[in-house]
Amino acid sequence: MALTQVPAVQAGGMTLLSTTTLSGASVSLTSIPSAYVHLQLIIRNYLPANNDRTMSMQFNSDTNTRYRWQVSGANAQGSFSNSSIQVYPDTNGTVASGISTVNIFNYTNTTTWKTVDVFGITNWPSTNTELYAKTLTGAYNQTSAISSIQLLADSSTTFTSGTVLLYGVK
Amino acid sequence: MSNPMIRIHDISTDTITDREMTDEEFAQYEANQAAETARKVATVEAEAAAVVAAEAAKQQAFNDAVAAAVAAALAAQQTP
Repeated sequence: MALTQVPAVQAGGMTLLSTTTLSGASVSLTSIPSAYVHLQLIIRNYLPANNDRTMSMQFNSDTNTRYRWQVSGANAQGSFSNSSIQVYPDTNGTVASGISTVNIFNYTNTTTWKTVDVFGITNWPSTNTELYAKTLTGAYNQTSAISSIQLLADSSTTFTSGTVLLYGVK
Repeated sequence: MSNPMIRIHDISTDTITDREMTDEEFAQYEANQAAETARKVATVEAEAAAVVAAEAAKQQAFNDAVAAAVAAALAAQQTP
């Protein structure tokens, strides 16, 4: 019986590209290197200035309605009617113990729309000792490579505190 | 009144810049926020309407089933 040649294990892993403290109404991560296969954002302890607020994300400073996001677990069909993708569950404005992981797949390819998945947990806005968890799926209907990411505090609020780490994944 | 602040982190140089939004950026920011808020409200209203419709359909189905059962019982009583 012939043995199948198993490819050698490739060097890879995750590289921390930046660590940024959330501040103001938005945070832009610019000049993202193109040397990776995927990007991963880890957003920790987002505390908005107001209670019950989310956080959203845009690419390449594109503010048009070219995005669509929904809660994961169901087939999605419809127009790109959002101007950003939600990346953090609705969170408490007093206590911040949450974390959200955002995967941006194949971000440098120039032939497909871009896809995002999000898994976030945080302090429930009404009772900050309770959990609020969300899994989301997002899409961006442009084929251009992603070279910058904008994180936006939710409507009528600003970032009080929090940290975002950007990893390149090979 | 001043515009909101924004933070820009240039990863290639690891330089962080904090500055006020320009008037143009602020106008776009407000338009997007208003549109997203309107979409959220519309989504909540649609979900609430769907719940009401589902409850109404359930109630109607129950009423129909009761009516059918009553009709069947009456028909059975009238059968010699």
